[in-house]
Amino acid sequence: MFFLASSLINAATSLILFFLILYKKRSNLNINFAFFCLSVALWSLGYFFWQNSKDYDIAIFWVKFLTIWTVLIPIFYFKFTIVFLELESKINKYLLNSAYFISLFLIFLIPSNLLVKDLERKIYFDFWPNAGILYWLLLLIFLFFVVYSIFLLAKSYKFSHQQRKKQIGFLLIGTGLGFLGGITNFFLWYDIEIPPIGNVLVSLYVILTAYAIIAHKFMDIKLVARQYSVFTASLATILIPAALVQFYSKQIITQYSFIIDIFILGCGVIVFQPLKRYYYDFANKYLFSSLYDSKKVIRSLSDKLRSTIETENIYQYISNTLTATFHSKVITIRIYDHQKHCFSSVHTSGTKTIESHCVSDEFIKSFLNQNEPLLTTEISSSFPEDDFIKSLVKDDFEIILPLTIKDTVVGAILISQKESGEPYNDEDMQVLSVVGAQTAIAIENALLFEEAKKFNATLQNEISIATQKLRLQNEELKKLDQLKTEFISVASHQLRTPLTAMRWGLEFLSSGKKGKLTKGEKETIDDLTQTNNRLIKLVNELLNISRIDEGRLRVDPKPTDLAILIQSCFNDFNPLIEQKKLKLIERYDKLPKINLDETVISKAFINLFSNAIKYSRDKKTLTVQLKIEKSNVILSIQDEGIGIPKKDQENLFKKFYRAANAVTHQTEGNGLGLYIAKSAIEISGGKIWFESQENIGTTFYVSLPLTGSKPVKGEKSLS
Amino acid sequence: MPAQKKKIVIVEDDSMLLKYISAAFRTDGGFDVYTGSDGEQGEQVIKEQKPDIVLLDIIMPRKNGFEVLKSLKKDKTTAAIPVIVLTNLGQQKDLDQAKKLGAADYLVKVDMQVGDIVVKVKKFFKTTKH
Repeated sequence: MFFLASSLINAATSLILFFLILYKKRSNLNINFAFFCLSVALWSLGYFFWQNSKDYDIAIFWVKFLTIWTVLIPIFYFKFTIVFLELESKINKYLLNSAYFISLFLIFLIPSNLLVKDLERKIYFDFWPNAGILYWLLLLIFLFFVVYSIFLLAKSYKFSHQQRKKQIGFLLIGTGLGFLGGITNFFLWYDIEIPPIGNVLVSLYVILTAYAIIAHKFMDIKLVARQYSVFTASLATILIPAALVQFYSKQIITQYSFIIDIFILGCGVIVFQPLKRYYYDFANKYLFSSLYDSKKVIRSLSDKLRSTIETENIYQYISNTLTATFHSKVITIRIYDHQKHCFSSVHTSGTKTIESHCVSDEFIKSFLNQNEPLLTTEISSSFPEDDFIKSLVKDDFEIILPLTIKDTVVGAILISQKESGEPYNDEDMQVLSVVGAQTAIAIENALLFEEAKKFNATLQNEISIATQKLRLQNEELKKLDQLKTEFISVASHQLRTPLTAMRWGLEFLSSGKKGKLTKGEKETIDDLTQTNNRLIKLVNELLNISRIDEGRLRVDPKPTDLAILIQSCFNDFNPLIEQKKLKLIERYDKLPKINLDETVISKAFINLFSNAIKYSRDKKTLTVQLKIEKSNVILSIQDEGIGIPKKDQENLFKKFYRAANAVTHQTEGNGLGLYIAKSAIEISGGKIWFESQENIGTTFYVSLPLTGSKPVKGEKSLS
Repeated sequence: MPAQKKKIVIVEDDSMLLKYISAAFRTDGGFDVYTGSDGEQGEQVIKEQKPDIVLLDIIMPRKNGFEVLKSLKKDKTTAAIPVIVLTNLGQQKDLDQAKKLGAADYLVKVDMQVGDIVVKVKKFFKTTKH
């Protein structure tokens, strides 16, 4: 009975371990240990059925079955050991391959009687095997690999530190004692009457392995163990009462018992999740309180911090992560204000309200040098008078985690006691250290981002205001522009209409249709007509200037024969030329047609010719020349007139400016002609200048490019 | 048999200008002259008289010249009557607008003697054979 029970227990425990390990992670190490566990489980299972056999044939079958695993157990154990100790590359590959070959050879021999000769009754066992002639080979292989593996483990134990040492220790003891117990099975094979009492020790390796896992993170499957135990406990809590209720209810209610089944099922479904949560919290608090996968915690926090740039989210993630990991009662995040020298609370888990506290510069300096989390109890001795530290102690904060980047303090995370009351261990501190570094960077980035956002918002606002102002100004300018355009229209119409009426009225009078006129009357009418014409001309000039100044002048160049244009401009002045008996000399080079706006250019020429004739002395010569110079055509108009005094020369092209001698010589004239001429020439792409000597004469020069004028969009040409 | 007199409608709000130009067309031009002193009145006269030509000012009370022109061109009975815009507005946009609405010509009053306007209108008849 003992052997049956012990073999069943061995099989069950080894199988559980097998599934737990494989469920967690399929690493090389885990797979190898899993195979080892599986081979032990199958050996134990074979053992159980063998001990339970009532028949010789069945018994021998099971003996041969478990012998397979007797062959494989040391091989798997050895393989696992060298993977665990990271000795794969150092172990002779021939050795391992030989081991596999021999194992295969032995397994091949199992059906024969070379290993298991036969069965007979020994001590109190009905069917105990006798060793075949080659069984010694199996024993040799078994002992060699087990001893060699234990030797390697022991050697590694000597040179390992802390946790690794503990892991190896438990493995060594567990498997060592397990094998020792297992070896007691071999004695009876050779008729040495020692019963296999050591079998119970086989389960020892399971227990010790489990302890190494839970206490010392051996193969890191404790999270799975927690999940598994929580799930099992929840299921058991529902199934056991459900089974009892079902059993007893069916005794009482025989008909419609399926209603009870459905009711029980429904209750089970409703209650399962809350029950699981309760067991999970219970397990966390009392059994696995320091249970967390540090790599997972750091990775998960890293991912979360990467996913956001909002400070609120960052604080939430950090607080949640630390609370879930350490089950601390309170976690508060504080940001350091460099101007006020204070830590202000920005986030707190739990319902505590935490005040802001200012700190000394010495504290900050010492804080900056820390990269590790600090125990409040330790730093309170260094800064006993510091209000901040006093408040930490008062509020039961155990740890202060500095958040620093290079020479800047970003803030601090204050962590209170764990709910379980356990202290923070080395691993906790290491995790907090990494969390602190990541958090500092994340918070700094988020704060900078916030600043940038605020600045951006301010900037947007300023731009918006400026744009609005510009828009309003633009609208004002448009209105002004509109008014100016309207003014030109109004001026055109309002001024010109009475001028037109006067012109036509004088024309009528002059025609004699209103009655015959005396010589004197005719002269008066002519004077009035002349004056009216001057007014009309002045209004036109003013409108031209308005167009020029506002950039409304249109230039529409077309191929133009300059010589013909000049001559047509002179035509209007022929009577005056005759009157003053001026001699006109014209010298024109042969020119190609040039792209010019006739209206604009002729306006300029008319003004220049008008001046040249007006200010010429009687019977003098007027010379007009047109010649090509490099890439330009130069027009020169030379008169022998009053000339321009030096002091007037620099202002000559200004609006309304007339040289003093011009005013004396000819009171008529509005001082706009040369301004308009210059504007017209320049907008056509040309230049205008003059040379003059008072009382001798003036020569005006106009240079125009042979390539012609460029078109200019505008409203109107010159009047 | 003497040639039939050409009929002209002159629409002009300035009474003095209207007086001179009407007289010029009556005496020198030998036209039958009808007048309107605002846009609405002018349009009415044109529709009644169906003249051979219209001289149309732009800036006028009640209805401006562009509106009258538009209205005349829309009406089948008056669409074919040639209209010469006679104005002191000198902006390019006014010229373009007149052209767009179907004016036959555009004359700036202040730049012309009244006799020249009569000559121009007579020339117009010769060239277009109205």
